[in-house]
Amino acid sequence: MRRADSIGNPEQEAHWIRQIARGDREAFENLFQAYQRRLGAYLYRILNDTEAVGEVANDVMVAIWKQARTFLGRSQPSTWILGIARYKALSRLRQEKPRAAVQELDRAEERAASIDDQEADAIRSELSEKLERALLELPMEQCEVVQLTFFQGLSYQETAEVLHCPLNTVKTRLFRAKKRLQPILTGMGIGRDYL
Amino acid sequence: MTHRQISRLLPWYANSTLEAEERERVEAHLADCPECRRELGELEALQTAEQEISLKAPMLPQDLLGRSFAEIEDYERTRMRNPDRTNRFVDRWRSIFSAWWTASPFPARAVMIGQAMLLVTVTTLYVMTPPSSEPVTLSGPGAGQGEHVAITLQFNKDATEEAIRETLMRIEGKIVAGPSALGLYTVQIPLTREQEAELDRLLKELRERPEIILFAERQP
Repeated sequence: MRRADSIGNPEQEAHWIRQIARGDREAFENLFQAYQRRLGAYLYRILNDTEAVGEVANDVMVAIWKQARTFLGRSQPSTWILGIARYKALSRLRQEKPRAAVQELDRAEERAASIDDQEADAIRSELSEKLERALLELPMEQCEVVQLTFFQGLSYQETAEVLHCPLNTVKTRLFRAKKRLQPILTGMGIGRDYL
Repeated sequence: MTHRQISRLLPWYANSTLEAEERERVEAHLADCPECRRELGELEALQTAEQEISLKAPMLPQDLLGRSFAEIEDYERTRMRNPDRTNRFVDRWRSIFSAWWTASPFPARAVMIGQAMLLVTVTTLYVMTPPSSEPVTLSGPGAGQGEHVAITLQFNKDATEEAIRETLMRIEGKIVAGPSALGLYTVQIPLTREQEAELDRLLKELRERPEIILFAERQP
């Protein structure tokens, strides 16, 4: 068992944020490079729109610059940054609400289709394909918890901080996400080797 | 812990973020619970799938950094033209204080809290002491510290400590109170209320150095 490969170095990131508060552009660039993958992945899961992801990511980075001096080190840098990202992304979704629901579903289907298209080039089991498609179609609140836990590698306490919800809510949402995916997991016999 | 409680912790056992005590309890339970072991296997598959999806998401474009910097530079230029006198100095000292506080061991923090309480007590006693009703003259009894004029200063948050010290030395000023919640300092200077012209000249001189002094005014 391992944490997601995307996990960075919290001490280094906290140092960069303190330096950014002093106007250090190099520290800002370092932080951007460190979060280029993580921030993109998180925003894409919420927004499902490459153009929107770019715009919101810009808003997030500028907000990091402006708010760096408010980072007190009481939370992990990733929690702080992803919290800002979530706020900006949800603000964007609220602005586009009439279209968002349909667009989100369309995008999910596009991504599912792109997975189909890539099948000829990539070796992927039918299980992974179905599971990935099902993950893409999770409701937003479950999708967030799954992403933060299994890609961003946050603890449940950190996830609760990002989502501004109680610890039990985090656990419940992930429990419900798994329950939703259970038919696929059971059908494929995953976990048998662990018995 | 119950079976249900353990089961709810399994995702964070899978991503290795549980605290040691919780991890040990989960491991002890897993040894005797095939259902949880199967559940763990399924969660690991979920983890792999989620990582696959997230790794396929487009990375943020490299030119995003340039766009962000351009917006930041606009923001900084606007900020320099319209300094937020209330917040900037406070923010600077807040970030310095917070960094020190976070890094300090408990005894240091306890000493700091004790000193803060002593300062509050002394200040309260000073404020509550009724002022003397005796007239104060330059040469007569009672002349001394109460004779000197006090001015209110707010320092530019980007001013160096050296620049602030140099300024205070030049005006022979002594900080006697502050910073307040708004970042204002009370500075006593060796001028009397009768020396209006000198006082005006000094305040004008201080106001001409916005890189050090954002606000300078005599106190009533």
